[in-house]
Amino acid sequence: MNEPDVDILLVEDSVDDAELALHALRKEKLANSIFIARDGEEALDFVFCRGTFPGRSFDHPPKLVLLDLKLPKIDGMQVLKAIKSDPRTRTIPVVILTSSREERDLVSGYDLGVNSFIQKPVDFDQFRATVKSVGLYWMVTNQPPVRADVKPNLDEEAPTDEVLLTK
Amino acid sequence: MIEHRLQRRVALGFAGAMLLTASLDFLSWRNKQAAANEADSMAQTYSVMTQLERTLGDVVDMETGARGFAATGQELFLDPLTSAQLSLGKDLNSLRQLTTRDPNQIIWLAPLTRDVNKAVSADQDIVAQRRQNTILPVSPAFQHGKQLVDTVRSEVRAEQAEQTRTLDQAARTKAIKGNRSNAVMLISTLVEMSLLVLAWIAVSRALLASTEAQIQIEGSNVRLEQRTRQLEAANKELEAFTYSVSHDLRAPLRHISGFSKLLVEDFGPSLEPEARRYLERITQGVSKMGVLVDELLGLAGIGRHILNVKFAPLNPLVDEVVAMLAPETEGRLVEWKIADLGTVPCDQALLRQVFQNLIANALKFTRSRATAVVEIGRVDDAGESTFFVRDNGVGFDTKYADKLFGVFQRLHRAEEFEGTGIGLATVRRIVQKHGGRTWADAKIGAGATFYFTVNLPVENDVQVNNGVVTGVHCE
Repeated sequence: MNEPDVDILLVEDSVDDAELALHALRKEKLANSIFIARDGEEALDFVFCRGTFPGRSFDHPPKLVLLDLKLPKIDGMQVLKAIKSDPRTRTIPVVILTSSREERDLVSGYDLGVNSFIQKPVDFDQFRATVKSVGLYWMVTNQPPVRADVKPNLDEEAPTDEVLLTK
Repeated sequence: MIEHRLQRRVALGFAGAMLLTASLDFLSWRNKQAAANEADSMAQTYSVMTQLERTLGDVVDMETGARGFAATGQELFLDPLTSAQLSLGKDLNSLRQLTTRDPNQIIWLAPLTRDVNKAVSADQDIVAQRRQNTILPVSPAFQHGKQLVDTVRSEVRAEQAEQTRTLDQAARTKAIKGNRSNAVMLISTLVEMSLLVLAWIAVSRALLASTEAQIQIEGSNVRLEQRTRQLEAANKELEAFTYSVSHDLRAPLRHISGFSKLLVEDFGPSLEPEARRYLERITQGVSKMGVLVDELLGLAGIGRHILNVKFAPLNPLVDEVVAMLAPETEGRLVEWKIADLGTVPCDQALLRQVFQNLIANALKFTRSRATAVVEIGRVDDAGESTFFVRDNGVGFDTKYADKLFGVFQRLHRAEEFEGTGIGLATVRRIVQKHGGRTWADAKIGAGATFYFTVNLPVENDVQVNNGVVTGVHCE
């Protein structure tokens, strides 16, 4: 049995930020299930169905990746690069959601094919509004490509123990 | 400058040496020429003396021949007489030719010629008298002939003495000239050598100086490179610091803001009104700090911002700012006086920020006025463009004017006028990046004027065409 579909992969090392983001997303009823990866390595394992996620399939990618830049182990830019340079994953929308507004990050983010680049506002109301509009756009408004070309390469039904946050 | 002077000095040294060599060579040539002339005239004098001796000899031979013929009557004695007579003509002739340039020729050659001729005719008389056998051994003719020979001898000796004196003088002159020539040569050599030595010293000094200068330049280049590296390192550090402030300081602020909001939302109804008020104050404080951090980051970012300089028309830029600030003027009477601001080479985004900060300030400090008057203009003076934003607001005490543009400097209490004290610091930083200055003029209760200049080098030769605002006094 495959793992249930995940709507949003939230890559965020800060527990506080993660909880606030979850709160905002839940309140707007935008995602059925959200998985939180706490570092770059975990995020890549999740997306590429490996490591502790052998049960996942490329057939069921997350509908949206919300990516922080400053991450332990593998930083956000490298995660972005890995996702956008692999034909199996590059159609997954990735939105950088970060504290910094560094010009160089903006430039390299877009160079690597990020879909949106958003600075987290300090004010929580603004943050909530931002999360809402991003979620609405990528989960509801935007039309994702039909994934017919990607063949499932993993067929295992191993039980998984990752924390899956569902609504 | 120094090189130029040195070059001139070396060139002068060499030119002097060459000129001196030429003139001394000329002098030496003249002296040699004079010595040669002197040698010529000496040779001539020797010839004169020889010729004189020969004349005397011929006169003596002639007399001896005449005497012998008279005593013996043999024709044999007439041969030397005849040949002497013949050669005497030649002798006198050559003497005349040799001494044409002698000014004393007339004084001595004429009497000598006369006396030689007399001796010739006296000897001819003796020969004639002997042929007629009328001569006597003690005839007065012999006496006369002898006397004439003596006269000629003394004349010849006198002239020979004279010629010897001339010769001595010529020899002395020649010696003096020769010595002088040698002296000239010696002096010339010495002077040339010293000039060349001086020129060599100058050249080697110049070389040494330029080498030292080169070493100094290289040294200061090395120091400059070190300093640049240090600055770059410091800049990188500052950049990292800014980045970390940007990321790390904003995150906890977000969390405080977020969780206090959630607290109000989720547990508001069960909270005491006082507790809700405190939470509101927390939220306000956090949002204020958020603005502060963002503005500080903006200020720090200007330093690293690479100017994108273009000739920008400024009026559209100011109009944008005015439109953007429209919410601030809602319900207020604002009279805008915007002059023709022309174009100026600048980074548009940054200059928009300058106008935005200054105009926002003007609106803020005119809030108490029934009609706010905001004037924006430009004055060009000595190639420098001065812009100003003037208001009729509350103004300030000019003794604090120099504090105005510092970070966190505020001249009003927070409850009177909100603000972080970073706006004018940002203005100054941007203007500095544009090679300009900022200053302000004001009076308490009678408005303020903020000036700034833009002084970026014009890269392409575009004429700045601008409207000039009159009636405004600018420094």
